[in-house]
Amino acid sequence: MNQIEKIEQCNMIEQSATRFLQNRYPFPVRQKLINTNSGYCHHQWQETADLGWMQLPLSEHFDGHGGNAEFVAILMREFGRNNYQSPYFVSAVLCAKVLEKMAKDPVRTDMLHQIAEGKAIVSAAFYEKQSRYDLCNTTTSATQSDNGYTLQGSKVGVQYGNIATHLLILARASGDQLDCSGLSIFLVPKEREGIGFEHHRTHDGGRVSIVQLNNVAVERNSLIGSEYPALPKLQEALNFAIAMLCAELAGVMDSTFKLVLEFVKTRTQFNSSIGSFQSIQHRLVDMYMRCELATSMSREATRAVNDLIGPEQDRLVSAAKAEIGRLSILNAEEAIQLHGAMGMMDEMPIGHFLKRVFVLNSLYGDAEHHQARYRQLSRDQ
Amino acid sequence: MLNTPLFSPELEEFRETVGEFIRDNLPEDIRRMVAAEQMDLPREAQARWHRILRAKGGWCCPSWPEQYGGPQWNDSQQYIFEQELALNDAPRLMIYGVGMLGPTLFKYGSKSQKESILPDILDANTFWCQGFSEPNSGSDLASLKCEAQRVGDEYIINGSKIWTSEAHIADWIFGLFRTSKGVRKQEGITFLMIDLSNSGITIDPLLLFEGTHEVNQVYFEDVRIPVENRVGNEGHGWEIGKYLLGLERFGTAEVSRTKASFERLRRIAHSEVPGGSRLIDTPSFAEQFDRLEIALHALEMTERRFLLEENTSKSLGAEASMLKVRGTEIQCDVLRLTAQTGAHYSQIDLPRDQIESDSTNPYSPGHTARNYFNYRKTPIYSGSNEIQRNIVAKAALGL
Repeated sequence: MNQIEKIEQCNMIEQSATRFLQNRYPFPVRQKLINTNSGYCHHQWQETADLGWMQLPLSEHFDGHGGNAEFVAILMREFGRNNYQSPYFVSAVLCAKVLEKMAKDPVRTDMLHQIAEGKAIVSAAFYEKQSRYDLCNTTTSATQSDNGYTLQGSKVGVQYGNIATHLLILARASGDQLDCSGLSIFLVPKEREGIGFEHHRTHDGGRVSIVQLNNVAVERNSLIGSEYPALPKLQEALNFAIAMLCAELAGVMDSTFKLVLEFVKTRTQFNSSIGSFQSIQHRLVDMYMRCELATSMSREATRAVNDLIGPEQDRLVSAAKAEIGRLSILNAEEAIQLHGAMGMMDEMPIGHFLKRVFVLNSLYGDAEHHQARYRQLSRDQ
Repeated sequence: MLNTPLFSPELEEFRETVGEFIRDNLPEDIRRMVAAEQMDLPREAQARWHRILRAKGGWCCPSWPEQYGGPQWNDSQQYIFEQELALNDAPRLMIYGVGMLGPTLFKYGSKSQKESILPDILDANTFWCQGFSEPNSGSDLASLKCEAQRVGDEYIINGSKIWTSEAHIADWIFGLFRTSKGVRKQEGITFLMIDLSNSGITIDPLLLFEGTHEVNQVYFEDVRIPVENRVGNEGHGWEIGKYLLGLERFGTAEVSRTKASFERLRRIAHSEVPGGSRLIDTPSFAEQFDRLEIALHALEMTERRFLLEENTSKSLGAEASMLKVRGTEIQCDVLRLTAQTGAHYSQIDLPRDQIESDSTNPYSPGHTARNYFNYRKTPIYSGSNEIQRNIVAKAALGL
């Protein structure tokens, strides 16, 4: 694909996503959807699958669009701009990447097809209560049995566990609690005996589950990847996913900024638009600069997962999530402040962007976590 | 914890006395609501606690003189008492009746107004709310339009007030109304008190984005009230309103409330998590934690200096504004950091009645970010921090 084709492709994705989300997911519809029981509309999910969204992160080998992070980032930015809530990120981005990088055929091809068609929704059960964002800190155990493995433990932060069809479960096959080796990933159908769920609503209208694994028996071929040290490959998939969260956050920042800019132009106090006051102008300029910085760092994260490998990729992705995390929180809070009391209203989109920013920050490592990870990876630099 | 200077032995003994009373008499269900950072308590809970303090020599109205049923405390005693309320998770005092209207009537009210209104505030029989902001008059309060037209012995009110906290649980509203269009917009504003049971009044709830119903829009359509409900002279409302807002700004820094919130954060940060590490042992967290503690101490000492050491007879203008700006900033920072302690649990949104207010475990669904979202109102309400900065620039710096 040459540069011109690439730009055309990007424009096409952006236009298609904008059109769909503006028509089918305006703010009042969003608010209605997140307040339904499951927080999700199956019909709409299927429509987005038909649009080919779920194929974007996958390589051509799996009927995908090549898996170029740039294309997925365009879509995720649109999600951010429209405050779109769906299992897309966890299923079609994160879990699809894990499967693509780590699973073996025929399971891999079969699952990726199902994800691409929107039939399977896979969620990630990686973290535990005590682990915070440290994947090495895993106590859930995988014990070999006659027919496969038995899983025992509990997991938190399982996005959209309420509608998932499958779970990817990170479990320890050997080693101590904090060992980074000895970890494996298992693909388990959700209905398997011994899996218990506690479903919750999230502040931004998504869903998240706490999962109990009580002697869950799984077959031998549910082990994803042949080797026990799952972490390096898993980290690559996570980096890809985190880069996409950065794109989404940049999209949220873009929308919040536009709303504020529009507001200060139209809100009149002291016989002038409040945007005519220098102190307000400076605040807007600071917000604008933060948006530009976030866009740059989002692109850097995308470049990292496309072009870099190993610690170089890790560092740049962490740098991006840490920086965008801070910038986006600042902007979301400023956006409310500059709206005055209107910014606190449920009927205004602005507060719901703050909730989104807060939750996106808490996913797969907040700014502090990634700052610390950055330092660790930079130890000798 | 940083060392803070002690007051005189007499005042420290006073602190012991009031603190002990609060701890011994605060109903547990109310304490839990306050410890959960809930600002808008149900009317019943507010009244119950108010009456417990009322029975104890008028402690419900710490700034009131003895003749109106208050305890006749000096500034230091009032300050210490409010500190003890906050540190022991007792509700805020009833701001509109006790904190604002009462002292305003001491200064501007007629004899009959004092006689008819103050006893019902003291006994929590009447709940008040405040009608200042309007849809197009927020920061620019003096541009308010809600009209009170004088006809004989009555005013006829038309228009609306917005962001009216507690209007849905209040009996009366006081506020500023436009009685004439003067040369300056500050002229022609009159301070009136209106019975909310009058016909022609509609109260519409406005939901905050994190889900609570605290504020309302109050509509007036040909509401007739007697002229006796006016405080001060017609057209002098701006001066009275400014005086009253000065009273509000006295408390909006919420320094002691934030100290209590910070102590909750301290307990979370130091709690042991089986198989995990304490948050306080994470350097990046500890740095933010320490920074906030120091900032809070600087604020507290500044508050003491402004309120108690300087010449307290002068009205607090720029000082109160500075405290409000910095106080709400730090308050929001403390609640943001608290909200982030939960990692994967931070995102979980539980109904308010399921929140475990005393949980020291960051990793339970009871620990939520709701308060962080809700308290984003504090740099906006009661004169936004932008307006407060304008006041400081003008009053303190002469700019």
